[in-house]
Amino acid sequence: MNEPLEPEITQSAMGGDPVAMDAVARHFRPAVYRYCRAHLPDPQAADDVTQEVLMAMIQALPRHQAADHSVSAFVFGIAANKVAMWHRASYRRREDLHDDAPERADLSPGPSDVAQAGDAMVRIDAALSTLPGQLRQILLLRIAAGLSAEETGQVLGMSPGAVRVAQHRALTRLRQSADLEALR
Amino acid sequence: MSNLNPPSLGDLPDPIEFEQIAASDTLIEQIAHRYPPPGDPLAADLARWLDRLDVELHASQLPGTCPGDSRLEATQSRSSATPSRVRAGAPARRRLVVATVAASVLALAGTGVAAAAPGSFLYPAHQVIFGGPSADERLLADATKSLDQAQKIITTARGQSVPSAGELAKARELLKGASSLLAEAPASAPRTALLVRWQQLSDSLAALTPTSPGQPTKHPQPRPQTSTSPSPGASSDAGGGNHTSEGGDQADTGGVDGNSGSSSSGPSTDGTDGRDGNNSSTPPTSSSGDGASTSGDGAGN
Repeated sequence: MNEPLEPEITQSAMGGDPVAMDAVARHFRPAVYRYCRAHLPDPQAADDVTQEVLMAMIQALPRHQAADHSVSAFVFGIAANKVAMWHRASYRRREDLHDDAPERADLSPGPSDVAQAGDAMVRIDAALSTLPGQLRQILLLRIAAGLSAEETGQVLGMSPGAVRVAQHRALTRLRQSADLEALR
Repeated sequence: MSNLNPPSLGDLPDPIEFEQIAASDTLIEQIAHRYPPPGDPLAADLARWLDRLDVELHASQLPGTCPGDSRLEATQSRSSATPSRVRAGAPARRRLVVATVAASVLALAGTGVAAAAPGSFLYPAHQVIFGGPSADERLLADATKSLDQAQKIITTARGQSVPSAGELAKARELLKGASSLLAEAPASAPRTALLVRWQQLSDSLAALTPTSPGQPTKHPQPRPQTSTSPSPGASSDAGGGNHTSEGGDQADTGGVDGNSGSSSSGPSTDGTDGRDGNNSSTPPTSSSGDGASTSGDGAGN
């Protein structure tokens, strides 16, 4: 994440100050976009879901209890839900068109993407798609969203220690993925 | 006693992994802050992956398309506006704005076209949609044209020390023609405006009319109150000069009618046969006495 958000701004936003809300939205937008983009197949979908996340945050922030979780965990909890909703909606859309649609959005690279195997984005996307959901989620929250282990634990309901162990396993799996091994 | 079973240690990492776990945590922090350690291809790829995400992020950050870019939307969310009314997608709002602007333009253009009058920028479109000008509109257009020409002559004559009698006669003819046209047109706002203009031009023309001993044609100002009793000058002019020219003939007729004043309404607004009593200075209004008061002007030529 960028510079940490000043507590005064957070408090003002939670008190309903529109200018502070604007500052909070500006602060979180890049991280939320990265997180959404890492989960979603195209930039447009990521942009739309990012908007939904920020709007939901603006609406819910005055009701947020800071004592329970940090604002980051609060925001990315919303983001995780919105991404899951997008996938469910995507599944329904595909179900309408194809009976044999996969249960999850296919995030793996297509033929044209594979042809661009030199692109780090494609390689990382391919490697991330091989991870189990929880490990992938942890890595995205830690790297794409820039959350700390504590904040990631708050989002996922895990202890910071469990997050660190899981992220280590995720990195180990990434290193072992065939795409990356082939490029070594 | 069953609750005293020792906790399972299956999920705990091997002690030898603790250092690796800490190293992975440090590595992730470095990657997240874009400082990947050199010599680690995975870290380098992850850093480049983040850079690519940022490129897409900047491409998606169009001004005013996200809540973070607009204080207004944050204000709206706090104000009495219900949050559900705030839009949830940038493309949807852009489409809404475009549709609103297009609808407004069409509505304004439609209103403007419907109300367009001759001479208006939108009048050609009005003609296409609503058909060509009506007979009344043509009357007003012709009258406007005559008044324009008369005004041009009068303006030119004002700049001359001795105005040309021929030009003044021409202007008088034009005013007379306009008078006839306006008398036929039904009452309307454009017609009223043209009547006012006609009166102003008639006054200007009267002021320019040269007064000479042989032609004592002091232009009598059109005054309705004089309609019942024509001025002596007017009556003498009617008798003397009316037979000398075509215009004089008409003026003579007008003079005759004008003498009767109120009994002959001239070019009245009700479209009656007032043209019989018309002369160049007869205002085509419903004022019945104007024709009488100005009859001598036409005769003075």
